[in-house]
Amino acid sequence: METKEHLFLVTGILALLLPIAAREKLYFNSAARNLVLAVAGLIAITGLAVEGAGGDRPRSESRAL
Amino acid sequence: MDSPKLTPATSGFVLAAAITMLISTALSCAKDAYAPLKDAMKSLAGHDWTTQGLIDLARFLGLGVIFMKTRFAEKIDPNRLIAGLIGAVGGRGDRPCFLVCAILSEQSARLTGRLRRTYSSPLPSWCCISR
Repeated sequence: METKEHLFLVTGILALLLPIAAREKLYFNSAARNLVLAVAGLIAITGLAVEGAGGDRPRSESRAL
Repeated sequence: MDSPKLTPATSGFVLAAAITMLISTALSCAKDAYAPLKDAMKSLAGHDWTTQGLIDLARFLGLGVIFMKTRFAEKIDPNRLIAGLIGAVGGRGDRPCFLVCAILSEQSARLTGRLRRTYSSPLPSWCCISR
């Protein structure tokens, strides 16, 4: 399974969700604050996972390393 | 004292995001398992992932608007919604394990390459018949 593409799609959906969640009155609403924190954290984790997946190296290049 | 609530728009779109991710995972698995589906998606927008991205986007926005208008997600406890979202994202193909493995494999590949370059074979090149 192409996991990196999955992760990229998830990041996109979460990135669309974040501005909607941030429209709440965060200072007064602890649930909204938790939601924004959770979404931001998930975006960071997913971004790290995409970064960690790296790119597909051609076989010849992998052998050269 | 009432527990803090989310607005209908926010709760609706959170639920829509969680459902979108779950269905997207199922679609990806189905695509991998059934080649004609992948080919059909490829023919729709040029690449199967482009089609899947467009379907995901449409589903997220559509479900979000439906849940917002019907105020369905507003009845769900916000903490449950957040837990559902985290579960939907984290449940996609044992992500934490993948993250650790991906970083380790990338780092080990880099390290191995560096070691090979630093400690190259002391034998002259004419000794290596395989080259």
